[in-house]
Amino acid sequence: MDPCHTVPLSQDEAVQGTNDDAAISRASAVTAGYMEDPYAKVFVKRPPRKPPLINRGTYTRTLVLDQLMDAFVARFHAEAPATPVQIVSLGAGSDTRFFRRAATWPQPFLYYEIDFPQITGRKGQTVARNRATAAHLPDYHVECGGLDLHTETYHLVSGDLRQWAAEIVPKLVAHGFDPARPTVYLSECVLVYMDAADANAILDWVTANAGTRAAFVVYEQIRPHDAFGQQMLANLQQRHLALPGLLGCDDLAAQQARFAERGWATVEALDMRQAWERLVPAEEKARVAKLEIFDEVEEWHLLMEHYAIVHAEYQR
Amino acid sequence: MGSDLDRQIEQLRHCEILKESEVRELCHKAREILVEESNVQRVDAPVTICGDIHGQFYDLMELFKVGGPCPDTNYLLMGDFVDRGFYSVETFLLLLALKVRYPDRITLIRGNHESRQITQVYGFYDECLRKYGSVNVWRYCCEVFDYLSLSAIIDDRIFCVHGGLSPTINTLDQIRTIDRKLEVPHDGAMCDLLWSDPDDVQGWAVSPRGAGFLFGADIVEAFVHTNHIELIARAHQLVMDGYKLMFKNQVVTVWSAPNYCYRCGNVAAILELDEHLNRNYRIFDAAPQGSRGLPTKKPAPDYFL
Repeated sequence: MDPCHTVPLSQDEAVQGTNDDAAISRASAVTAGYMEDPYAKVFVKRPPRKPPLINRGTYTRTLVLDQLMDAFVARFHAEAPATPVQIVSLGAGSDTRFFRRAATWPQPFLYYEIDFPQITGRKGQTVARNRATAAHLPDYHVECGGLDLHTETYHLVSGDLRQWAAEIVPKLVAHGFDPARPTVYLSECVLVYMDAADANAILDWVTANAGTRAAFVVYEQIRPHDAFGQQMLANLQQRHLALPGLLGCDDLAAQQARFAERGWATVEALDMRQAWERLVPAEEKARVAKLEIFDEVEEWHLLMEHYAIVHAEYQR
Repeated sequence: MGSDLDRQIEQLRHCEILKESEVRELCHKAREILVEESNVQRVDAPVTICGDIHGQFYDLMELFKVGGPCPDTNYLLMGDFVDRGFYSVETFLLLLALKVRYPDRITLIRGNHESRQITQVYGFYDECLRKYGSVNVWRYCCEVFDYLSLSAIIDDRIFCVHGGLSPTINTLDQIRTIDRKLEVPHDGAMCDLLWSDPDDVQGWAVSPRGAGFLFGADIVEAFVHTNHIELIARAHQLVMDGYKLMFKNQVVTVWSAPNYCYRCGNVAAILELDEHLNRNYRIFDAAPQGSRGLPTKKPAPDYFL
């Protein structure tokens, strides 16, 4: 198969739209002072103000994922300093983590971002043009007519995650990826948009091909069955957004089980309300409490209870 | 004026805003009525108690369907008329017009969102600017907010307040001495009444809202005893079933915004009291989609995507 071909993706446009939403939320949280991200505004024209609970939730998501990713990368590097740690960001969208960490994570590492060609094409152009992001892309070159962008450490790869083994893996391998090396996989609101069979195909492949170390970090919606969850599905449906992955993996136990059943040694799943309570340091809670009036306590709890943060580690 | 006011009420019932000059006039008349009200406004049963509305105009119409129209039904609304929903302007002006037209058949007390500061964060300010092209209407409404009563007492037995109690308040008479005609302060008795929440704590505790306090069953027990009342009715907190009893049924939270923020999936409730103060909770759902107008550029509720 032509590694650069594009498929008609009209049914996927709604999923691609979620990327703009996430980028806007991130820029809003940065503007409101919740977190620092010099690259957040690269991807939005004019950041509209989001409500305080969205700002706080975006901040919590970023902080907690940073904690996990930083820890896995640091440990995998320490265990084998000469081997590049690989980060594979599924459906990366306009995520800025690579640019935020390019200068601080221990070298060597290889960072792969995968998304629909409509997303990667736009992102590649944006990051190559913007001076702040381009500074982290020395000697980049583009492939697939500009849909893919590569440097020695950073690889922006277009493709359809539903064609993981057939389409994505060969492109990764062609750019230095070796699944046997220590690898951290990241899925932020991605698997949940896929049919269970397609998501499981990725998990099966990762498990079968893992070397001595692999980690998987997942952030996505859970608990679709209660009143809030039902309304969430209905509201997203109005945006033509379905969450087919949610039915097969609908709570923390199921999130844990899909890794445990595949033999992953350590699995931990929290809902984001728990993550806020346990993982956000007290001084940070005090700091963000002062940023905006926050009168959405019950709603905050409801919303955060419907998102999970999961991390699993595979050891051979 | 009477027929003018009736026309305005009719217009607002159709979710159509008034002219800016009409709003100014209406707010002026409302202040003249509200200034005469006590910080602990006396209300006679039968009365129907309602919680937060938050600009969900079509759900307020649903509430009137379930509870009966004003003035046929005597209403007491415990604040938070504005913010969050798409129709804070229409919602507040309709309630205000009803207040001016039937002052003895509807009681409006102040919620923590009836404030200049909060409305600039949670939507009412932006909505006024969008619908009128200036913030004059927001200003007129904020001036009315400052005159709204802080609480109500029904037949000397049921105390109604938006949020809850305050460590600086033991008696209703202490509430009566507050000078209320100002923006909601950041602390103190007036702030606490509008911001506090009952919770499973002993005594008083810090509130996660950053204003007001959490108060426990022992505080409620003492307040109920001291003031010879049987129930504290309050709003302020979303409860998924519309109402929630706590502390040996001495506190009830009433929540009247179904599917709050078009996102939470909750039902709403109102509390009907007959002339003997017998309680009857009426539960209702959000207005069906078809009965809603077509809001222009209605933004979708936010999630993390």
